[in-house]
Amino acid sequence: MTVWAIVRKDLSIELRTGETLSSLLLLALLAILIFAFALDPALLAGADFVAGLLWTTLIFAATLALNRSFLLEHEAGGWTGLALAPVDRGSIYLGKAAANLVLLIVAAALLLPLTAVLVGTTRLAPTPALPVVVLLGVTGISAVGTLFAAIAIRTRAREVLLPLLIFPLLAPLVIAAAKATAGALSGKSFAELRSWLLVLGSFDVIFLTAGWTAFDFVIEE
Amino acid sequence: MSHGRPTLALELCVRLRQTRRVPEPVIDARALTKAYGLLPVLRGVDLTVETGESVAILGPNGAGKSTLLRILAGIARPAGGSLRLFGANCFPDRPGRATLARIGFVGHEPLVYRDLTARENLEHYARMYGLGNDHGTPRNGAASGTSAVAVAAGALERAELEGVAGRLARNLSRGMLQRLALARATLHRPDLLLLDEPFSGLDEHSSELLTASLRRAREAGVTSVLVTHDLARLAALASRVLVLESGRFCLDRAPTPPAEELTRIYRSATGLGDDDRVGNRP
Repeated sequence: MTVWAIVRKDLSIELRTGETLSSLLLLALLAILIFAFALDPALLAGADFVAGLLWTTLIFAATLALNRSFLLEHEAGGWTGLALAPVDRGSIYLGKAAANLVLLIVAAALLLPLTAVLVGTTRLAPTPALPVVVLLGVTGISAVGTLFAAIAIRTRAREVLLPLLIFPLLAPLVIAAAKATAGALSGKSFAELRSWLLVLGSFDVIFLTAGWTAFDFVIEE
Repeated sequence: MSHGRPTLALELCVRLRQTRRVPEPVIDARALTKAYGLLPVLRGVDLTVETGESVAILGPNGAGKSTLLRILAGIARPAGGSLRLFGANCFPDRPGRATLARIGFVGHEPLVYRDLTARENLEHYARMYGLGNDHGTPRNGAASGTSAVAVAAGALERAELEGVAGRLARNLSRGMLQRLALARATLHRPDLLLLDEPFSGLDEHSSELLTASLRRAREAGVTSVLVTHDLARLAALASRVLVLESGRFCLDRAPTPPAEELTRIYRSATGLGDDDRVGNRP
């Protein structure tokens, strides 16, 4: 109930304003374009490059979305409103993470084909493993990002602090997600990507559990 | 066997005491302390508030009034002391969900989302407080068939905000926002209402509406703790007044004296001059 109430509220605001998704997509698109123009076209052709480009731009753009998601709570004391509610504070975390996840799924679903088109890659053979890899990857970004955005939002240097906190933590996720995405774009099956999927799944479970248990302390003054 | 009768008598005594037990105070705070970094804000606050009391807290800026209210609301955590709300341990333990469900809080900010309408804000908080859901299943004591939508509609009507229910919160006036904040805080019909400067920035009409709402809450037996600089309204609403200075209570007076006397008492208790912000309303 709490999780759904928060997801519903966040998505209602996003549907009304469109601020987070539009800025996230615009930033990601600009980054992809810069890479596409700045690098040698011969380098861009492979699935490895598309996958790497997708995940690096996605984590940069995600910090923007995550900051925005908590600014929304911060600007009129909504954060205090959440802290006052007689609910498990872990479910507040899960609600915020789920709302951020929806935005990241939409962003990834739009960016993946756009990246392939913009860098001019034609030799891709996506398999059914691709959506699973993307889902596990963005879940990890949302799990880590939601927890640390909630911490960073209380500081004055929030815009700077969030990437400094999450980028080192997201490094293993980005490596696993890029490798698995490249594999899934090159026709590899679930069985062939098993080890990367296991890394991504474990990462998600660890950070979702950490966020759920630690949020009680994060939300308190 | 020889100890049978005294043991039985002792047990009877305990049971008799339990059945005749005086109700626990709504707030029982002992030696509460709080600091922000190295700056101490509360330096050992003792406060007991009984059921149905309307307590007003006065004090100069920076005295620790808002911090105390935030601690009582369960938002901030004290550094030391003990705190019991409705008989439940809230420090060093954390306030439980059952305790939080009995508290309503109006702070400096309206605690509403600016990009949601007044109605959507109240529906969101109704869901957060488990007051029904959109399929009409009652929860947390909500009336049978109550949905979050119906709870919000009732609150909008009580706050006289039906006319602006569909307006975004960012487009509401200060007075409307404050009424919306009070509607949000009383949505779940709390037993303890904590109000931090609820009259600030309100025009006369909005202040009257707010005063009437608070008076109704008081008549309904809701316990309240009010922080305000508006002595005339304070004198009309509170049954007891306390003065907090430098993180400690320096005066506790019940019943609340008339506003003119209150001004004099307050100034003498805090050593403030005539040019201070706290004063009587014309």
